[in-house]
Amino acid sequence: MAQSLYIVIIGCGRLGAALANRLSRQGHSVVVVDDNEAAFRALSSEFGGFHLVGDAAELSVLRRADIQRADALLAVTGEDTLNLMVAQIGRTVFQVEQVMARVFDPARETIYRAFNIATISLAVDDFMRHLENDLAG
Amino acid sequence: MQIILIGGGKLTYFLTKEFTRRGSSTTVINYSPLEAQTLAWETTATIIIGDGSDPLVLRDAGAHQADVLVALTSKDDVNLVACQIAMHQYGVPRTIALLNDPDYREAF
Repeated sequence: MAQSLYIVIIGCGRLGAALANRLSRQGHSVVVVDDNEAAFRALSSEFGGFHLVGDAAELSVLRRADIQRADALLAVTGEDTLNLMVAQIGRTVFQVEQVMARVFDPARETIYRAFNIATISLAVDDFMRHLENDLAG
Repeated sequence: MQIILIGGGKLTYFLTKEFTRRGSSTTVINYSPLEAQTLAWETTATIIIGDGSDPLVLRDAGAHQADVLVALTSKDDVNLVACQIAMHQYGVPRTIALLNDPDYREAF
């Protein structure tokens, strides 16, 4: 990622904050959205982006985050349904080029593959990778 | 006709009463054990305690055979995902989602 991108991150939990800190350090413009103001304390002091307090299930909140201008949208809240809805809105309504949704429940994940929404379920993917490596090694 | 309702509150209660009165086989999915119990007492519908956006809960509710699914929770994301899973995974022919945020009318 050589050029500076405009990235919207939904959810400022452990994953959202870590992504925001890292992407901001790499020189990208980052906006983080969370409905809990206290969550933004997880952003590092070097974080140079913006944060926005609001419920991402509200279309007006997504508009305020300037999502239509975003190069990438990362939906990483703790709620599968919210992540999946925001990702679909980002893809279909605002035509964001790169959209990713975090999904905890693998049972929900399967149908969103069909919708062409990239899903990340970190725990399952990581465990599988380690397990496959161990078995191969 | 087989109907699945997801949600709680007065809207779910009165719709459940109306559907069962008309002779539709009605199943309600409600997240709160307390509210589910009240619904079970006050209506003749089948009540399932669980998350209506969970594919396994929908399967238990008989989504494979359902003709209609109505998602009435106060969370738009839950309503949308429940309808999409019902439609695409279980082939429910008609799904209806309650939109709490009117801005989504154009979006959907």
